[in-house]
Amino acid sequence: MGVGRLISDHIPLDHVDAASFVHRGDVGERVRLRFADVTVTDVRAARALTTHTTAAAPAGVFLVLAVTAVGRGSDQNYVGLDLVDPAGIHYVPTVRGGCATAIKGRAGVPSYALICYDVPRQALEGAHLQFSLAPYDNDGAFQRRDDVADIDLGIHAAEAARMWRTNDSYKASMTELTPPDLTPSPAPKAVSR
Amino acid sequence: MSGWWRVNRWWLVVLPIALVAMLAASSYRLKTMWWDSGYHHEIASAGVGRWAHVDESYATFTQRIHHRYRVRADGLSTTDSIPQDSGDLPVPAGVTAYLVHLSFEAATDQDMAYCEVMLVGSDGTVYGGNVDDQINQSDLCLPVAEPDPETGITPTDVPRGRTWTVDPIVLAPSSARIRAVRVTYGKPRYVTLAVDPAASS
Amino acid sequence: MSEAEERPRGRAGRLTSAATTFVVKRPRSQKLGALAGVALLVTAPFGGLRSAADVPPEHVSVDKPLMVGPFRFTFVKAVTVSDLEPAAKPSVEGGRLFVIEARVSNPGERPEPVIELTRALTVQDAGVAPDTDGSAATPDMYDVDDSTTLSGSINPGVSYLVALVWDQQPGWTGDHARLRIARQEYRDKDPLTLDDHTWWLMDDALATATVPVEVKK
Repeated sequence: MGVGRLISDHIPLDHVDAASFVHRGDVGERVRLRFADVTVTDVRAARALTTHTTAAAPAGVFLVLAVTAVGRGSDQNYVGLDLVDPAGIHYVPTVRGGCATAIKGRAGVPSYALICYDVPRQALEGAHLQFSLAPYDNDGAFQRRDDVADIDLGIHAAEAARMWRTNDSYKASMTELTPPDLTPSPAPKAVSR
Repeated sequence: MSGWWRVNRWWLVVLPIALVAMLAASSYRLKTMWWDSGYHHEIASAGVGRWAHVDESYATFTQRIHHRYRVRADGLSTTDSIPQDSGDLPVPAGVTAYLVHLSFEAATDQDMAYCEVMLVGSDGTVYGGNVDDQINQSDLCLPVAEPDPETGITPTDVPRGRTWTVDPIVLAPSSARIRAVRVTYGKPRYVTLAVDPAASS
Repeated sequence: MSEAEERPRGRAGRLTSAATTFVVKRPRSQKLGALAGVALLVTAPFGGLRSAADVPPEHVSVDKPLMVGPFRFTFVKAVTVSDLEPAAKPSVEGGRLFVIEARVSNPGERPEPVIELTRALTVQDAGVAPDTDGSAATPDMYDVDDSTTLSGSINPGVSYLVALVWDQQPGWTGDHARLRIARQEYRDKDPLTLDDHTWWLMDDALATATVPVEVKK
């Protein structure tokens, strides 16, 4: 009984800590995680995303992130790619337009991906990328006790206003062995504002 | 027997049984969350240039799997470009694209579809195995079909003999020292085939 | 009973008998209470422990915005077209496409999968064949502004003009069709799948409406 009392009095049995291990970083900074090193190399806004055959238009604006990931230990897909605004609202990458919705990671070999979000105006200023192995999905249930990179995209008020008005178009790209082409061109007439 | 022991004698018998039952009841987590979710069961292995023999049978949720084949690593070579439908993909600097030369022998009715081939580095890092990848390889342990010269369509089902060879590509950093090839038909089972580290670097 | 009492009993028999006597001696109110408790626990996985839901009225119209699961849905018009290239074309030779144009937005605070809209939408009297399993067909969804397929999820705070597209059999000649929107129910806890905070598709309708169909070449 004494032992039982000792356990119930001194071990916080009601408190189970399942929080993720959050590693913060900025654009251009390599963030080291258990399963990968991740860097956001570029942040752009787009009025259109083009492939050989399609041009996608955003309902809000496309926020385009160039992300480099170098896997550690084994090849894995990184599926947690949520954009989070300062109010804590999550946004997921769009499947339209031909950008990556998961990064195919390779151990020791850089994977270059473009991640594109169709977001409203209020998602831009102060937005962060939450990068993880598993999707955020059900309130982060799959990211419990795992590493998550929280990368500040450095979008301030003036930058957000400029991004919202953009008329640039970018070539969409999924996960590649070489960095994406980030040369902007004017958005096709059909989708420009 | 003193009073306390006598009063509690049945509970003392029940206690270890209850403990075992409790552990058993939650042990499925160990199997599902750990054992089945990683490469934990080496079913066969072979030294450099030797055959590994696989003869096993196990049940999944939906079916019973029988695997009976032998496989041998005939070494690694490297390539400067990765063939793709849209033209060859150059291998970037700092990266080595290995051609993994494998020989197989199995009865012609043995299902050999959907394996994965990986390389194991001297530090334990495993390269490859994420088959739905940038270089668009699909079924690594079956002979690759040639596209039909008239239609240009690559047949998906190629008849094979009892023995055949494959050369899937696995990417690794050029700094890696490769010590083995891993062939798997799904976690947690795998076959380890040693390769000569000197030959890979 | 008397025959059973005469039988010699082991330890287990004595325990059972003691338990039976205990239960039998309880007052009737306690017995009924325990029975109700057991019944409630048995139905718990199916919602027995939840309070009864307010069932919204059926047969409301679609001329104003409706909350379809997590989405705000505003019906714009119904048309039939010979194709919607490059987005979609009829899968049957000589067939057409039945299209509902609507505005769809996600007013919530998390991305929501588009299937939670499309799975709730079916049409009748529109020349649309049922799915191979016999259930009413649900549409594919496209962005009207750029003809891309809207699949995956819709982010909070964005609004799309969408085309909800069904395959239409050759030879349909109507000028009205019926749109049915199934009701969905939000589940904070889902004991069956362990996926909490999900929308469940219910059998009853949230809205049904007869809509005019414009025939385009």
